[in-house]
Amino acid sequence: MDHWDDQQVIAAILGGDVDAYGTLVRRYQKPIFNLMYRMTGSHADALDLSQETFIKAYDKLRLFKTDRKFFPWLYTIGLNHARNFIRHSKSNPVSFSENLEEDARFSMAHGTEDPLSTQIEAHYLEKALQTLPTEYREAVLLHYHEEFSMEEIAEMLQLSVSGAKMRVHRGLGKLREMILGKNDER
Amino acid sequence: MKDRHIEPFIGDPADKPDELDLRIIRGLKQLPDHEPPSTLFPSVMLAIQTRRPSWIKRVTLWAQVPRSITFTPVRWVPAFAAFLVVIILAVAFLSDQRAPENPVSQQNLYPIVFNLTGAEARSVSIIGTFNQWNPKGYEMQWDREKKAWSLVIWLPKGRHEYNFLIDGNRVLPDPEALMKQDDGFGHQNSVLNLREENGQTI
Repeated sequence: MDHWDDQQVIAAILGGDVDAYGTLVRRYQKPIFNLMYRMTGSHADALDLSQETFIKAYDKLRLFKTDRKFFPWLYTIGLNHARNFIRHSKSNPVSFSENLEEDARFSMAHGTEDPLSTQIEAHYLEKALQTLPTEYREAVLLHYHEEFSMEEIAEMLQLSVSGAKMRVHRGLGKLREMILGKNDER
Repeated sequence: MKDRHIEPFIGDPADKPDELDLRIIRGLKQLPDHEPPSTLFPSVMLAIQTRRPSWIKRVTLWAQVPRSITFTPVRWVPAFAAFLVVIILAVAFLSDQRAPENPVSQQNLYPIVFNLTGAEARSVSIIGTFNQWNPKGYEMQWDREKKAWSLVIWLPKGRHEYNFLIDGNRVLPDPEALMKQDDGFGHQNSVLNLREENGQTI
């Protein structure tokens, strides 16, 4: 069943083969888990939200239109679930500036003055992403990391295509401001 | 999902990406993905197993899902040949079963013409040992020229007992039968001994 495409697997699931859902979970658990991790910054929360996303998708599978792609549909469910979690979460998100000293020490430990020229580039980006407002974080991750098209992002975020482009562009601009601002602080 | 078109910048062409922007984009693209915990898969599967629908619901769902059928003619040749053989055998078997109703095809049957004259009746049938005394299918026709009820029946050689059934409720032995025999209930049956040298009309 692993060589089946998503539509064939979904047909089997809707036909009563519950175990076939495992094929979809194996196929998409990594991007969904990483989405959750980048939305929450917590390994434990990402695990819970990923599990709940797959269960929610299973419950809604009959509503899935089989002429569409499954992954964007699943990703949209995950995004909405993560948004709700963040909205209702009582924990205060860690700000980029609050961790400045730690990051600076990390940077210095690697003996570089340019935080984006070394292996800590990813570390800085992860930190910056976690403090980026949710709507911008979603957009830049969807486009630059998951490589969804603007049309797909527009559908997933319920925006016009031009609105999706603007969201991505502004998200990128805010990331840039954060990193430059951080450099200034250093 | 790799190698898809990524738009580095959207908007005013004057807002051209500089080196920092391109590196941010490259950094986003290459963000290391974390491996999901090994507990994720089993926990999801365990959770949905408890949501397994009843078999009635599963059958209903199965019936509602459109399905495609793949037809490969070469693969169907043996099945089609077997189907043809079954059809031929079935036709042969059914023909064999119906054979007695089509005596012309039988070599050892002889056409016997039964006639009944002088009977006032709305309908006349023949009942006898050759049809288990069942009149169905053995209704006689009124012959205007002979002014008689008449029917041709193909019979094998041997001894046959018979009677006429008038209007479906009155039994009448053949007045022209050469032999008659007591039926053990106070009535008589007509007797026909059919041998090869016998005439064909009685």
